[in-house]
Amino acid sequence: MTLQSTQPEAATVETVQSHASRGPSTSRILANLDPRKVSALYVLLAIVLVFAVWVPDTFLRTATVRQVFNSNAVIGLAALALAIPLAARVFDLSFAYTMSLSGVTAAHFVADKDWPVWAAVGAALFVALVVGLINAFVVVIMRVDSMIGTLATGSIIQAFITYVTNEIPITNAKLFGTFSNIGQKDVGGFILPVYYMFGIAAVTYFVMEHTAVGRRIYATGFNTEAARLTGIKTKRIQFCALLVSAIVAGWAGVVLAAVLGTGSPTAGTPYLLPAFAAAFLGATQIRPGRFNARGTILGVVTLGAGITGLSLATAPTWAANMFTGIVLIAALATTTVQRKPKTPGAGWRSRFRRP
Amino acid sequence: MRFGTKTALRRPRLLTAAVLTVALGALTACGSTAGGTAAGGTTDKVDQSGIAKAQALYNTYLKRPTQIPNATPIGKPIPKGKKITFIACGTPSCNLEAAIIKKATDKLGWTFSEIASDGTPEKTKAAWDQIVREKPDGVIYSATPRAGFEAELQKAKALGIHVTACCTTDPPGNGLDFVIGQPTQSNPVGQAMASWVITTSKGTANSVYVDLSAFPILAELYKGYTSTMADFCKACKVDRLDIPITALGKDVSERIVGFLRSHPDTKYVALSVDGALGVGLPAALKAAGLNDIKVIGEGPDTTTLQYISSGQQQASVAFPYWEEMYSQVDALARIFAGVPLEDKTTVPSWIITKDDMPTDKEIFPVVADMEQQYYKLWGVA
Repeated sequence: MTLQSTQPEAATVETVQSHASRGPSTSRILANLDPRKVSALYVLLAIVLVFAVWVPDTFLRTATVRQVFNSNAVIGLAALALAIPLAARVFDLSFAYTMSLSGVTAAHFVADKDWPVWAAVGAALFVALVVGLINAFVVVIMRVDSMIGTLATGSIIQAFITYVTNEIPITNAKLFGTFSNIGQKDVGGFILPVYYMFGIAAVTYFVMEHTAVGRRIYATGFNTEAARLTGIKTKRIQFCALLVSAIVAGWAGVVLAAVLGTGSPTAGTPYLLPAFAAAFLGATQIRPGRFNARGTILGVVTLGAGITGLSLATAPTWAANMFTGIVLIAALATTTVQRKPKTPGAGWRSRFRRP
Repeated sequence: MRFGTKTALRRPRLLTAAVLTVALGALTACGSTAGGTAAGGTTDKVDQSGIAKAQALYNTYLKRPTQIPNATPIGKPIPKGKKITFIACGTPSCNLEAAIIKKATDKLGWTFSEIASDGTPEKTKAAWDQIVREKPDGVIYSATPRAGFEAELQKAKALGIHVTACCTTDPPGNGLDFVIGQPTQSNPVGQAMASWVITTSKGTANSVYVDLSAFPILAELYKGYTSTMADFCKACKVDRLDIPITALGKDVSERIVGFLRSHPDTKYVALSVDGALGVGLPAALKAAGLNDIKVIGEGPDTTTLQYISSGQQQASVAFPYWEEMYSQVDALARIFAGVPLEDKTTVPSWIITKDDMPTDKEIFPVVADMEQQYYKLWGVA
């Protein structure tokens, strides 16, 4: 499913016009703060207010900011790995397994083969690239539905991991030091994965928002057939999107292994749903209807802030999942469902594009 | 909602805001009453005699055990050629158990096979269906409640298949010949963890016990922990943080860090299951600036061993994988030899630290010469 993308430009123009008398900069700021575009920001503010009252002694601390970013950086990387293929209208359900595979690969070469860290990381990324090639072949060349195709390749990847590791984590003292620094080194209060997340988000933002390639990706995602008829090589776009997804997922897996200090055969799997949640929440933000990097980061931070707040408040064990579900529904409702159909009879179906 | 304009979108957006507000309010209200904390002692004067008793208890657990669960030689020939099937449970520890059992059955000249299962009720039931079809002489399984395969277990009993289990709350009887790792055998593990906390903190610790209530087998461990704390450390305070099973592998570390930040006086963490709860915890503590937290766990995997050897975790109570698997093979050997099972088996507990850990590369027997002791009981070279 790809979210509809028809409204932002028109809405923005209208909003800007309505504030023309206030001056261009004021109008622009107000337009950028439109709840339809940044509803998660308001949710984030609500979260800060609620927890500032609820647990003022622990929430209103710089340590909370660090905790939100440090503990959600890997989710951010995983969500960014999803954003590009989703924008190009292909699912990559195998990314979580790719994370496990690359983490295990890097740990294996460092721990068991005495490879230098850079070589082990390179091998892990190469393995991830191979996974991406397989995904792309299955989805684009063989024309298997991306959701089913990547689910299948994910299953194969997990089988391969189990075959190699017997599901026993790869551990060794060699994983602590240079390798673990990839995920644990603290710079200015934040661990390195936070910087990776922002770095990859910045590159993704630039490519998607400021290059012809980005426009082609969105065009492919909005209407693949129309994009193809205009001359865009949609297959190539989707092929490359899956490759990029696999490489970013591979890097996320290496980082996760470094954070854990172990090559866990199942480390990536739990990131499947949180990453999709963040990516879909991100698609309702800043550029509503488009999977975009800034929105994804906003989604990650919003969900992370709420979950961290609940954790600090010693909320019940079910609260975190409940919170994630509510925020997702609320954000989607705010930015998509609330759009009133312009023509009678144009109901729910018109608000979403077919998969 | 557009700023300064009336739109048809206002009502649903208000509804959304209302939903969010109510939801956060509900979470606030619930969070203020739930959360799984249970206060132990207060800030009473430090109980020196309690510390001394805890120290004595700690010293017993610090010494590597020398006694395996079984003590009586079988004294009769053990038949060879028996077919033993192990039902896996889909976790790394179950894979390790399979390797240990195979080593023991190979020694007795038996045939070992394994049925793959991921521990889900469907797969477990399917595995038992396969047992009934294949009719092995003996079956060994771990950590699955018999309620999920009761009918198949009765069929196995009728077929003369002997069954042993580890780490389950089900008592032996009615088709289940032998169980080791019963809840009562977990109690000393909790005592060992508490003795370490009291001794290390000199009787002043505020600690959080991180629980996995989804596993009833761990309830007795918690009892052992809290009772020892209550008996020997009046000034200590114990909180309980229950982790849902859905959080495993996902945000356990963040939940623990959140708890510790909201309870800044708590400096000790007791993990009810090391491997499941402790992976990534050292990095999360470090990232949160919580550098003065001391951690003890139970049932370390190789990752935990690495944490201990590198100083990122202080201690753990070693899980006797080797002893418990060999004990089950021993039970089958006694049954096949026509010898009654021993009335009592004792599970060895050992606190390991950086200084006394035999290796950090693999799971080791708690009793160093465990294999030789069993081979002696079995009368095999």
